[in-house]
Formats: sequence, structure tokens, C-alpha cells
Amino acid sequence: MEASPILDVRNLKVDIPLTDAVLHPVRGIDLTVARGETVAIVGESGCGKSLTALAIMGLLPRNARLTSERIALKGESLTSAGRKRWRQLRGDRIAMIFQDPMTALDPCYRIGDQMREILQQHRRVSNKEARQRSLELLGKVGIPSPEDRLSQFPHQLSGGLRQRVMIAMALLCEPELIIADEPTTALDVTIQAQILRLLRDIQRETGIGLVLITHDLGVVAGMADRIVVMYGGEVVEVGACDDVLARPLHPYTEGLMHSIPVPGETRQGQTLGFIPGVVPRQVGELTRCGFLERCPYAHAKCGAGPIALRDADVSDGDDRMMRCVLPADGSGRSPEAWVRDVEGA
Amino acid sequence: MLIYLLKRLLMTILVIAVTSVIAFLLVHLSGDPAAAMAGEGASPADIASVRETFGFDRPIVFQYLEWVGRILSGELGRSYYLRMDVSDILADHLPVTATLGVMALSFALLLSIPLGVAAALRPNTVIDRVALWLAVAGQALPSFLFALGLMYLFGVYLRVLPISGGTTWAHFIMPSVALGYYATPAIMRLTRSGMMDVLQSDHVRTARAYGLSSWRVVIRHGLRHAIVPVVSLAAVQLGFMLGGSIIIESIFSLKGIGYLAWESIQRADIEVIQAILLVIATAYAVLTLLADLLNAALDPRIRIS
Ligand SMILES: Nc1ncnc2c1ncn2[C@@H]1O[C@H](COP(=O)(O)OP(=O)(O)O)[C@@H](O)[C@H]1O
Ligand SMILES: [Mg+2]
Repeated sequence: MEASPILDVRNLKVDIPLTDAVLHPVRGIDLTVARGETVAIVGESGCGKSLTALAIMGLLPRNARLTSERIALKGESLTSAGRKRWRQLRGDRIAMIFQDPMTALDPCYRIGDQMREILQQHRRVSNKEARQRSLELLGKVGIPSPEDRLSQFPHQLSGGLRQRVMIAMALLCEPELIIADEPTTALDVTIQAQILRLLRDIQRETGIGLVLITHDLGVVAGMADRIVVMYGGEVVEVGACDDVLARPLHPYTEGLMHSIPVPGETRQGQTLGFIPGVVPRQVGELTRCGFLERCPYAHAKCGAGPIALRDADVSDGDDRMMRCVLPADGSGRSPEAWVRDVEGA
Repeated sequence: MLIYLLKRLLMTILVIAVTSVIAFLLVHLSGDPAAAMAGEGASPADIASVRETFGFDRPIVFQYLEWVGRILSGELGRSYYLRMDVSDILADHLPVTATLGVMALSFALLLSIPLGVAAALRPNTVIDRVALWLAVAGQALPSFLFALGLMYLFGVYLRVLPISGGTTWAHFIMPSVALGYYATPAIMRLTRSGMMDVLQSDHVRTARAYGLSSWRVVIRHGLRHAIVPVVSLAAVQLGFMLGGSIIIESIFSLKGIGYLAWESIQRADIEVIQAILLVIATAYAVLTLLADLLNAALDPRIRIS
């Protein structure tokens, strides 16, 4: 029997009732993370990535409604779990790293106190043992002179160091799964690369499952095993990282690819492609392709009804899925479509 | 931290100095103190003699400096009316007002902070409505009406609490409630809005994401932040209660500072009035300083830069 995946999510939906309508920011997501696997969730800002993550953590905002066929952590179903069970799991079996390390730590408490608080919430350990464990982890995430850091307050640390502290916190109870929601978006470019490398090294070393959420397809190469591309609350493409990067199937993924600079190829000052328009507000049920308005290949068939996520019948890997009516072999499109749009703009 | 402390200390001294000037000027410029002391129907010669005896004919700057010098050497002067040292008079009245103020503030904090937190945790529910209703009622109801209502209910009808005087702790219960209730709406609303903000903040989301118990999330990571402005407000309100409890003190016949101030103004007992103004101003300044220090203890960003 195949071991159950660390995270198994089926048909996850988040609805937010507003005064005039109901928002559907997450419209039925499937997501599995196997032991030792890194899955990247990629999509522009507003695609529902954070709400998906918060739903998995049981941390949705009060006004949001969650429905799902299945949310399971290592085979344990959480769909019917009470708040208490969720709370026991958070920080212990699943940990989350947030976007802005400047505000994610409590400014009123020393780093050491915040780490001890988390550890003692989940484990029976003495203050001394907690200190020992915190020191060990601060060292592991590459924080210089960890002894001094324990007694410092967050505002005395740089952004990069604070994000390292967050990572150390996430590792405190040796979780099975870490969800990192845009962990480097708020950091300087040079620091970004360091933090990503750290996350990757730790993931490889410990074999935990990692969900890496990002709006930047450029950061996932070499990081992720699989990519899930989200658009407008839906999964529009799934595949092995290398396959998706080498041959994006969905026009949206293609558009994202064209908007990242390629090291060595993109010259300074060269215009990058971009996807015209913005993610529309997700109100009402979809009756056609959600990407239609922004797609350079759109034709009549795309407006006929909602598009299903289907197996893309391509040779380069199993598990490739796309939510588009175009043939998967790439015919009927031109890579120029994105760049031409730039010139036309 | 040391620099912060010195700065705050300097500010406090400055505030006290400035208010002492204002207190002095108010008393001396609001009328002729000699005429007031000589009393109604005194002849111009009497007034002139009073003026000379008490030194009111000298330049005002000189009088002020002399007064400050006296106070700094620990002498508050003598009440010409009561023929007692001002320091003895204050020693009689200050403890009453201080007890009343501290009890009133404690009552206000104990009522309004839990209520504010509860309202923030359950916005737009029954508890939030009740809290809002209490706040509106607290502001709309004149304090003397509320005090008289309490007096009737607990003192006359139920007969469980004494209605006048200040000899036992029980005597302070009703006045403290009456005085403190007035401070609750503002504290409650500040607590509620502060908690609403902090509960939305990133670090509270982190605390939740790491499975901390609700109590820890709400108190340690929430209230600890929301309480900072409340501390400042409470200090101001305590200062206000110390100086402004005159209505409550007279309703419940408590011989406190407010009561004393009222009597002294009627008697034009300027040494006493000046001393009271100075005491209240100092209390205000010191309370503000204490509030700032408490806040620096609560929020390390204030004390460590
Ligand atoms: N509490 C909320 N109330 C109303 N709308 C929300 C709330 N949280 C998120 N949204 C909306 O849901 C959509 C998806 O949000 P989010 O998951 O944060 O996107 P992403 O993380 O992909 O940028 C956005 O359009 C956002 O405005
Ligand atoms: Mg987000």
C-alpha cells in the first residue's frame, strides 16, 4: 500500500460573502504533497494562494467560509476536526512562514521567549531545554552569534535575519509540512536568494514537505519538485517543475514565463513580456474560461462553458494537467504573442 | 533607555514648573487677594494693611520666586483662615482623594478592559452591543445623577452601603463606582478598537499559526499591545479624578481635595488654593511620567532603539 501523502487536499473552496455578492477566491483546489516533496503554488497576487494556505492551516479570516471534500494531514482527516485539534497541529505538525518578517514576529518579546513559548505550547520541555533547542536551530538557519539573538527583540534584527528566525521557529517541533507564503517577497534581492537556498537545504536535509507559495515563477527553478499554477482561484496547470518550466501548457503559465528575466539571455533594458490586465474579482460561478479576457489565444470555444482541468496528453511526464482547450502539443500558439502585446501597449 | 528616562524626567519638571507659574498667576491675577482676605466691608486701610502684611504689594515676579523657594524648602505656608499649616491640611485631605481616585480607576479598568476585550473578540454581537450601550449611557448620564441613583439604591433602599463620610473602606465603594463609571466609556472604546486592530495584525496571525492557546494569543500577543494607549489614557483620567472629584466628594461628604478646593476658593484662602493646584499639577505630571515608563516596559521599541 502506498504511504499516504503528507498533505492531501480535495476540492477546497473558500467563499467570502460580501454585502452585495459572494466572492469565490478559491474555487475548488486539489493539492497533494508527498513526503520530502516541495510543491510550488504560483500565480499573480490575488489568485487565492494565501487563502488556500490559510484554509489548510485552519486560519481563514472570520468572514470566510470553507468547504472541502478532504483536507488530510498524514492520513488524518481534518475536515471534521475541531478547533482544538487544529490548534494542536499548528506549529507542531504544520508550520507556516509568512511574507513580511518585519511584522510577523511580536515586537514585545525577545526572540528566545517567542521560540520557547511555541516549543512549550507543544512539548513538555524545561526552559533550559527550550533554550538549547532554540540555539541549535538558530545556528542551523545560519544566524551568527545565536546566543546574543535569543535575548534580542525582533526590531533589533534585519529583515533577512528575522526571516531566518521565522524558519527556525517553523522547525522547532520538527513538523511534517511547512507552508511558506511568499517568504522572500519582502526581502532584498540578494537576501532572497540566500533565504531560498536555506529553505531548500533544510527541506532536503529534513525531508519535510514544503509548500512554497510565490507570485514569481523565477524563484521556483531548482527549488520545487512540482508546480501548481493558480489563476482566479483555480488550478490551471500542474506538472513536474522542470517540465512546466521547459514547456508551459496553459497560456497563463506561458505569460508568467515571459515576464521573468532569463539569466544570460535577457539583456539589460530589454522589455519583458507581461500579461495584460489584472486578475478579475472572483464574483459568481464561472461560466467560461476564467483567463479568457487576458488570453492572447482566446477563441469562441473558450466562452462556451467552464473549462475542466484535464490530463494533458504529453510525453514528457505523467501528472501533467491543464485547464485549457488548446492542444497540449503547442500548436496554434506563438511565443511572440506576449512580447507583441508589450509593443502594442 | 537612560537618555529616554532623562528626557522624560526633564519634561516632567518643566511641566510642573510651567503649571506652577500658571497656578500662581491665576490666584494672584483673578482678583485682589488682599481685598478677598480682608473680607466684605473692609475699609481701604484694612485692605492696604493686609496687602502689606502678606507682601502683595511687592513685584509679582518677586512674590513668585519667594513662593517657589519656600515650597522647594518644603514649606507650603499657612492657611490664614484655618490657622493651620497647609501641609497638615493637605495631609488630612489628600489620602481621601487618593483612595477615591485609585479605587475609582481600578473599578473603571476592571470593568472596561474585560468588556473592551470581549467586545473586540465578538464584534457586533450581544456583548458588543451591551458594551456600547454602557458606554453611551456612561457618557450621557450626568455623574451626580448616577451618584444619587446609586445612593438611593444601595444606601437608602437596600441599606447595604453607607451614604456619607469616609471612615471605612465601605464608604468609598459608591463614590468610587460613581466616579469611575465616568471613565469607563473612553477606556472601553480605546481597548476595543486597539484589540480589533491588534487581532488583525501579522504577529497575532503568527501566534495563531503556531498553535498558541487563545488565552496567550489574546492576552500576551494582543492585549499587551492594545493596552499601551490605555495606560496613557488611564493616567490622564486618574489625574482628572484627583482634581475633579469635587461633585462626587460633596455628594458623599468625603473630605477630599476637591472639597477642600471648593471651600478654600470661597474663603479666598490663597496659600491653600495654590498648594492644591501645585499638588494636582504635580500629580498629573508624575502620573504621565509613570504611564510613559510603564509603556516603555511594555513595548521594548520605546526603550531600545
Ligand atoms: N478577508 C477577506 N475579505 C475579503 N476579501 C478577501 C479577504 N482575504 C482575501 N480576499 C480576497 O481574496 C482574493 C485572494 O486573496 P489571496 O489569497 O490573499 O491572494 P494571493 O495570496 O494569491 O495574492 C483577493 O482578491 C483578495 O482581495
Ligand atoms: Mg498572498
